[in-house]
Amino acid sequence: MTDLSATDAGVVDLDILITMGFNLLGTPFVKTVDTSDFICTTYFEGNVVDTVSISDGTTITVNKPTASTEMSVSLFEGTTGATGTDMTITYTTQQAFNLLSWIYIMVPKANALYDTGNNADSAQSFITDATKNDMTFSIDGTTFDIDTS
Amino acid sequence: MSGTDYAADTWAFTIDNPDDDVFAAGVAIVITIPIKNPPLVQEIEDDWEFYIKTETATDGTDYPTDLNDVEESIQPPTTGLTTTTIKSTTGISGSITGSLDGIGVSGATYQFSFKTTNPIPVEGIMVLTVPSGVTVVDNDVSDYTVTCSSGCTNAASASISYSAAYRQVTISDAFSSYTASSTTVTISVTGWTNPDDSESYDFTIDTFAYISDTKYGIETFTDMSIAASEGICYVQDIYVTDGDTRVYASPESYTIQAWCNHAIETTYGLKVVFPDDYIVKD
Repeated sequence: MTDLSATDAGVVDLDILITMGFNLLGTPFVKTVDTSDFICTTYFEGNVVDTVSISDGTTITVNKPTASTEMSVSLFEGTTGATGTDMTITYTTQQAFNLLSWIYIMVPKANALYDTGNNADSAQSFITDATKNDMTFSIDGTTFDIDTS
Repeated sequence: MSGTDYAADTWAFTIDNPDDDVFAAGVAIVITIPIKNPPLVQEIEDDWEFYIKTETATDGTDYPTDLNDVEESIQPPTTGLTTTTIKSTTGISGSITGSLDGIGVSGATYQFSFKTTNPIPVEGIMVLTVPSGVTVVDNDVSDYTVTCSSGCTNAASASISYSAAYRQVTISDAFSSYTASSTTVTISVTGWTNPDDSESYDFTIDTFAYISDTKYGIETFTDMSIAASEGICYVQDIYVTDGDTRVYASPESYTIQAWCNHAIETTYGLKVVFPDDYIVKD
């Protein structure tokens, strides 16, 4: 630390570059943070000397990680049109999963799958509203109820 | 004919997390969903994705209106994502209609009926496999006719082709719209030659979705059998032709009048059995 005691208080005019390491948990979602939201306060013997806001217009953007983990879908088994089989989807998280997390799953309604009702123009989704309510969910081996409300 | 591309189905949910557990990154999420299998054997490709968003404003229980992306998966490998077996269903019936039901008779009409379990799309075709006992005349589709009297929404414009190697009749363009499950389909074929015996012969009909020159199996209908009839002939009258009915007379001929309930083919023979009291000379 630089010893400033020999200098003449009141005339000190220093540019101070402070580099510190923080063990921070980033924002839990994609967000752009303006640097003006960061505040730097200096203290001397417990008293605030100065408070500085960084307001140079720069921003820090927290991005979602590049997709790197595959979701896994189990094989369909059994006969065409059969019920009573299970499809299992697995995924390894890349970020923390908490109370505020929502899961989205996109499944194909593609190609020649078609509705089992009378709607000739609709594709069949093999995951119906009814079967969604019967699915089971676990994370890290702990089972939770689904909340689709 | 190409299939229709439909939009993917995206659905969202959260979990009931009463203890506000926070799971660090790198843990496995496993979701098991009871499903109804796809109605045809076709690999399910593309449009799989798994992603997680985080609420930024709500309390985690109501459907959120303010979500922010957190992470997303990359596409899974899709090879092998398919139903493995074509459903097999016993057909309703098979029969020879009309009077041309005798052994070896030509020009008979065969009728087959089945009820769909899996629906048939517009791209659907039917393949009728003919057992070896039935003769498909000249292997030429112009020599016989195929009609669909129920269950086909485009019967008038349906077309047929025949593969002699596989003994299969393919009926195309018979469906102008989606055909639901539990629809009874009835097909008739006229012009083939009945088997040379009275054994039962099983026909099968397979339904496929024919998309981009590829057949995707939907359902197989079995046990639709036909059997040619031996028929019955009745002797209506028999008499000595020249009227010489004396004891030990030796008339040159007898006249027999008979009635049969089936057509008499040129290949048929005739056997007459006289009572034992008659002495049949060589």
